[in-house]
Amino acid sequence: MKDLGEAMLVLEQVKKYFPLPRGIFERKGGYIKAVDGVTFSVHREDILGLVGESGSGKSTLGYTLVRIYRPTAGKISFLGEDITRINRGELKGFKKKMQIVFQDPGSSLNPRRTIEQTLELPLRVHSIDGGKERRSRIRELLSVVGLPGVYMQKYPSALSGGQKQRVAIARALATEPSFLILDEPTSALDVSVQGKIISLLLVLHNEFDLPYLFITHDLSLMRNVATRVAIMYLGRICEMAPTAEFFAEPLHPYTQMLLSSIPVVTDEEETLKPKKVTSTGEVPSPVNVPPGCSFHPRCPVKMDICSQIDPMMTAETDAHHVRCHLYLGRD
Amino acid sequence: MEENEYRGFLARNRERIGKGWHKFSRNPLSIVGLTAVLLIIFLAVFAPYIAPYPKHAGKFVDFAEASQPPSWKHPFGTDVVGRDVLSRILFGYRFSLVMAVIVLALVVPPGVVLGLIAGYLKGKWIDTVIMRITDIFLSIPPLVLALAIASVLTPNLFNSMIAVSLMWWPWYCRLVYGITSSLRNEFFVQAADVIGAGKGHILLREILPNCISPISTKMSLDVGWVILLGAALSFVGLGVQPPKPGLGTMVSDGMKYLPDQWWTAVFPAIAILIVVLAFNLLGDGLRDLLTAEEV
Amino acid sequence: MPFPILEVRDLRIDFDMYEGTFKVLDGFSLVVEKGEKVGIVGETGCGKSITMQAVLGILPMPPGRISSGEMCFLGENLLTVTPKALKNIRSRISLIPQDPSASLNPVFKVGTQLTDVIKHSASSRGQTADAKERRRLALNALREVGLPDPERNMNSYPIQLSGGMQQRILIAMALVTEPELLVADEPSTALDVTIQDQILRLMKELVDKRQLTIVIITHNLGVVRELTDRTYVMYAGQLAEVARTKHLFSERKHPYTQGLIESVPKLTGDGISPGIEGMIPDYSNPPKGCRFRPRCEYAMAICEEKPPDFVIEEEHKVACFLYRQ
Repeated sequence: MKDLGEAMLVLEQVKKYFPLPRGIFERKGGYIKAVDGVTFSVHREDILGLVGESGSGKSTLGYTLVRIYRPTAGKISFLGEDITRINRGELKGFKKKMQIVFQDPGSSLNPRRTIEQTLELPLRVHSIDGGKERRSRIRELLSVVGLPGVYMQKYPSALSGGQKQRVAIARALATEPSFLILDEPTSALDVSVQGKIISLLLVLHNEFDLPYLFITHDLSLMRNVATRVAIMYLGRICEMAPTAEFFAEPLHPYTQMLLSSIPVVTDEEETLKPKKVTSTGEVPSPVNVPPGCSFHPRCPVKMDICSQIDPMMTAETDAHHVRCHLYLGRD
Repeated sequence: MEENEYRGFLARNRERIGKGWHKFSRNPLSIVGLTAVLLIIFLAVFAPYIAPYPKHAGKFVDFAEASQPPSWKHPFGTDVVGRDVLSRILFGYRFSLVMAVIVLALVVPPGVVLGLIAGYLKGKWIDTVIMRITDIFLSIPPLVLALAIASVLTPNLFNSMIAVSLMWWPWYCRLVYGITSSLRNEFFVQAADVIGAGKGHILLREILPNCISPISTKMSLDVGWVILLGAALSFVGLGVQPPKPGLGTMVSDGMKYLPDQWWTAVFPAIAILIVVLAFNLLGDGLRDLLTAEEV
Repeated sequence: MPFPILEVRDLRIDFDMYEGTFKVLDGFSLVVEKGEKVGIVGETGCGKSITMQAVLGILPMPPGRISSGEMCFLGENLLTVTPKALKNIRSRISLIPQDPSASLNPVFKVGTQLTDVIKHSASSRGQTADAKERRRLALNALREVGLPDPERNMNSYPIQLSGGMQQRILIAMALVTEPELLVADEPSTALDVTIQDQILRLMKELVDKRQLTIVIITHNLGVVRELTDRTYVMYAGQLAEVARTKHLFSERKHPYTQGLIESVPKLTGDGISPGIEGMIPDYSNPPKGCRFRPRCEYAMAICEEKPPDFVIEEEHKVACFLYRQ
């Protein structure tokens, strides 16, 4: 495996459960097992693509990493330090180093604050520069993301979706973070604008040595952006591999189902898709996780064992992991 | 160079304000309300200079001129003690407006702050405590509460303001609570949190600016209600005390002389009607303007 | 020759706003023959939704205004026909709206909403159907769109159902009126990719089975490629290119079409395309002539005039002076 540098972020069996209120509509209390035991690491030169559909828990995982939620269980190490139970004093320092770009540019900028005020906030919170230097730093941030300084005095409503997202990226970069989480940063944008934002993100990745955890549902995008791809289903990772290998030989039936469902635009891509795996049934919700392998109700090749025992993650090759009974016991 | 120039709030929002005014001015009733409000404020502020008989607003007696019907000399007539009704109404507006301003000044800040805190910390104990206290105040019929408080304290304008304030603040708390608890899940609020901003910043600089519109609308509609409530208190003798010219007091006094000397009660009543209606129209106009911002 | 089921001729739609008049649609034409599956593709703000809103009669007017052009359903001009005839025509066209979670009323059960549609469509066709019959039709419709437990779904509130199920219900609601023309507005945008795949296959099946005509509006090129026979590409209120879908993707004559297809990230791993330079124009002051000119690398002086639709071959037209004959 290509050397991707040191491990910046390491997750071990991270879980995030949300207690269900014992209300009138539920017979019993229970848990929404949004993230149910996720293990992976992200290295310095990585762009890890975390792919999944709704209910997979990918966004919840991202939010847990930036402490919007507190992890229910598991261990998170960042830059070598265990931050799972980080205390309030250290939290601010941590927030400086890990930032997130949210998915909807329309609501990630406060409509009542100018761009300058929005970008000034991270600088002020972390006491970076002061006064005049701050303003020139903001102008610098804007130019890094390709926006002219004139935009400082504008309100978000005057900007297009792509421009708003650039501001969101600038805001995330303001504290000079060591790690960036991108939650569907281009899903809400037109396809002709997506390319520009993604290109910008790739340039920043190279220039600032910034690893990314790229959360998305768009596998075609990851084919061209990610160094490694991980598929999440109902709170767990089902397959993870370096990009080329992942697309050349998708192992997990769910991965094959996803890949074969993508509406592509060229004939060459059609030939690259795995044989059509008809997807059946609904995407289940993390409230009612099926027993055994959580994918078994929808799996076209399920075996008896799949409804009983949850498979462990294997390593198919050095870096290609898959969690499926089809591949267990083949080592 | 333009980008170096720090443009103040008005300059930045010039287009928005222009667009807003254009929309506001399309509704004739809003313009009527705005004009009437400005006129009333003007009259109240300059009452000592405009009123034909400024001295009649205080201790004044002239039985020769008492109970005169409306005439050129006294356009609204004189009351039973000989005081010019028009002049007293103008001074009465002063009391009404002062009451409205002070009550809102007392009521809005604590209501808003408590609403912000309760809304942002929704689900925690502090939310429950604040909102249950709010509920308690809201469950008592407003006039009853105001009367109870006002009768315990010495009856005068100031104490009636206290009474009205105590029953008014929960509405602002609730209003802001609702907005805050829905806004706190918005990405821009989460983003501020992820950046590391403290709760104070989030409440005052991220959430509060998004509440200004509904708060302003409510305030302008409330002015009318506060004035009405103040007049009601004065009417039962718990507000502005004679010989001061509170509008409610004047109606109460004049009532005894209906229907013969109708002008002593009717004109003050109409004056109340006008000021409440004016602020309501203005408030409605503001609400239509601010709630239908985007097409 | 029978009339095409839908024909739009040189439609111009303006929006009168405070900031000025936005000339959104600038002479767009469209023909849909009976039985075709036609796609209209374009990015945000290109006018595709507005065109269909005008046809369906749901364009907000004011501030919208049809300034010129015609829209004809089976030869009848929707702008000049009597209100009664218009109502009849509209009952023969159905819309599958975007975003099921916003299109279903959250406070009514699915069954109520579905039988409501049946009741109204029956009355506008001059028929009646009693409650029992309506329920039967509703259950049939739900079964037809592949819902495994129609009884239960009838009794559910939309929020209790998944996005995919909600979309199926919207399709059922559109089909239950027995339309001749189906308009699908971003039929799968709000859905996960595996569910999207199911829904698109369902729509294809139903359209083929019932021999319906369908117009699909979307920004997703992959969806039109899978679902349509012929596709219109729109840019800034103008036609860029129209062709048989296969040809459109393989030949891509218009520079915008090229840019658009290139911008889509591909499974072949060709890397990230830089997208298309520039931004969509300001509709209150749009560029003269071809509105794509400011962003086009092949722009010529003549592009300041509006290009006519040059015919490349049968059914393939490009509005671009590069193909001037």
